[in-house]
Amino acid sequence: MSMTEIEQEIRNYLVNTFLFGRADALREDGSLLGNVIDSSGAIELVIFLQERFAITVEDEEIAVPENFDSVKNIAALVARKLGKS
Amino acid sequence: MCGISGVLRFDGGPADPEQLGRMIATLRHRGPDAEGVRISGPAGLAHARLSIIDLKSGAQQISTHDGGLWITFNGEIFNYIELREELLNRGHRFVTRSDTEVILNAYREYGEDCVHHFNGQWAFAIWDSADRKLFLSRDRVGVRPLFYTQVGDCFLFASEIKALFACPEVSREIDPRGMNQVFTFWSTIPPQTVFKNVFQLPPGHSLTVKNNGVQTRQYWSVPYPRNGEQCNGNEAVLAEELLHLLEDATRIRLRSDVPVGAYLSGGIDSTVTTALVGRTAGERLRTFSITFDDTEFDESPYQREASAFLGTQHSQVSCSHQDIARVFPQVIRHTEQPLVRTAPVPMFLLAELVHRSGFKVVLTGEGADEALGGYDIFKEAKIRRFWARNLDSKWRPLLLKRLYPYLQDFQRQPAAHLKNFFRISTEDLASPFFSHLPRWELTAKLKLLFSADFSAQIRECDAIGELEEQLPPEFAAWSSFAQGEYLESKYFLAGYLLSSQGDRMAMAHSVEGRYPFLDYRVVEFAARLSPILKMKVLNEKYLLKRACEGIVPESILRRSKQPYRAPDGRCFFEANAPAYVRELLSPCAIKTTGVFDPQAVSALVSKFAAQKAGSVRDDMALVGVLSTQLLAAQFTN
Repeated sequence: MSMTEIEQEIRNYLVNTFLFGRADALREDGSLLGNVIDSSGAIELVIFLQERFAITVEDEEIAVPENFDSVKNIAALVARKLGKS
Repeated sequence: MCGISGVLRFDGGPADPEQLGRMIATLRHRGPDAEGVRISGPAGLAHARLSIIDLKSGAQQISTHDGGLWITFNGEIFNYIELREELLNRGHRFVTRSDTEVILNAYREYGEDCVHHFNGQWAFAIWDSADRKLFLSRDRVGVRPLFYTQVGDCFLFASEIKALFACPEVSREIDPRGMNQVFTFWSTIPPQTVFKNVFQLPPGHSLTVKNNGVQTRQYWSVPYPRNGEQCNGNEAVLAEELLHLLEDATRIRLRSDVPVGAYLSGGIDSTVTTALVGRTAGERLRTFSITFDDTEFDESPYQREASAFLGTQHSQVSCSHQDIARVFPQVIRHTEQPLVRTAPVPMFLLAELVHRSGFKVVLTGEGADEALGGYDIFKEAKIRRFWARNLDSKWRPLLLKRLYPYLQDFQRQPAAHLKNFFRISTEDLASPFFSHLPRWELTAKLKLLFSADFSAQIRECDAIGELEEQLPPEFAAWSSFAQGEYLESKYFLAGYLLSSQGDRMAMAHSVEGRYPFLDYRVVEFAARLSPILKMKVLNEKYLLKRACEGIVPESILRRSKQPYRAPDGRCFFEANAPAYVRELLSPCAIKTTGVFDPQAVSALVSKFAAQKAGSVRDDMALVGVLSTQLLAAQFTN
């Protein structure tokens, strides 16, 4: 799976889960935490990443907000786990 | 307790009794005991009566003995006995023993300032035929509703919007500005409603219609002191003073010529109210509560414990997921505004139980959380401010985990992420709405479901800006705690809790709620208290708990706060769900109403149907869409 495909998967998940399907509401330049992912959403996102990409996200990685603050950062985390970077 | 409606014709022609008859007929649930219409020249007043005080001679509409003043009145003036005495001493005559006649004579004596003398919950209209003036008033905190509109040469008012809609000349259109407010604050900001050209008189306001002009005037607001000037005296003395005030507030709320019962939720507030009723009334009290099949929401062990401790005769009604789906359309018929949670539904079933049990009046604990520092939103704001003093602290955000112990999803979130969710940037700290921004922003996310056309209609609307315009000049000088209390009381309590969950659900079954914690003397006393006395560290309602030691069970005083909630979206997707759910959520019905985007709603519905929805966000979205569809189907289509 290419980096672009990983990003697209993540984008689709965020749009369908947090934005009621409104892709135009997902701004690439804004912070995801607080703006898109709400107060109960971070763990949902982690579960999605683990199930979809068959990876394990460690607690210490979850504890770093920057890992989840943009589509690019989330995709980079996934890519690292998949050994793509 | 009653339903009222009325009309004033600006062209001087006689009011139409048939029109008034049609209007009041829609409000029979509020007053099934008697009905009346009175025409006095261009003014007409109508009344549907629920007999509670002066059962024999209190029939409305009442006029002064010279026929110069006429009144239609919904509510109670609890201090009417003392006021009557005072007015008798000033030479006024009375033909009845009712509080209604006390209002009229108080108006004669004090004019529009009469409202300052009332301790109660009211919405009334007085036609002053000599002055050709219609005078409307609504109680201080907004227990009783009052709506109005102006069409052509007519001013119309009523307890509920449906009575205005009984007049064909009143249009029935959803107002995008009102919807934008509901999908931010859970209710509109008065005088706005969700219908175009239909307004509500804000709590603590009066309105006069004279010479074809309409004027509103605020006569009361909560008198918060400037920050640093709050009362921080001896705790024991203040606790005793609070208890005395609550005892008296309860005593005068037992004035009734029919039996009075009480709601008993299992929390501190209603247990305190019930305990005080028991102490005052001296006879075995009837109490009522709601239980849930779904254990996540059920508080029946605490209810049973409180009932046993206080020796009440207790009745309960069970609320299942199916019940919620079954009565939801009726609930929306009464709330007359969309909901984002189903919490009013069980209150509807509870009022039905009270009615079936032969009771017309219940006391409840509503208002304690707002005035005495009970809500998690105050605790949340306090923790956020504490954290903001040391943003790099690893430990301070862990305090947020003390919040919402009943929300499992929230508890699983990493503390490091919460900083962004809870908005503690420098900019947010400076906002007058710091305490409420997380809640409002979460709710406002639901607007993503709006259709492109509807979104275009609200493009110029700024709900938070509209609220900011209403803030009183002294707001900035209050403590941050008082600012949060003000927002919660003025908008959430009056706009949602007392209306959608309170008056509208109880009156659907001809039941009157009475609220000792909302006695203005209690509210004013509480407003003066230092925030530390209300929330000591993170111990909510500290002074109330201290005041009530010994009169309520220790286990209830010490239990962690569990806000009243009800099961939401999943109720509508169980086997045998009512047919209206699928019909109103179908792409065709969504498109016809025009508020929401059919594709977005279909995705949401599929998520629920596949049992993949479960977040607060999805629940609020589903309930918001379905209630709006029901509102449109019942009132506009």
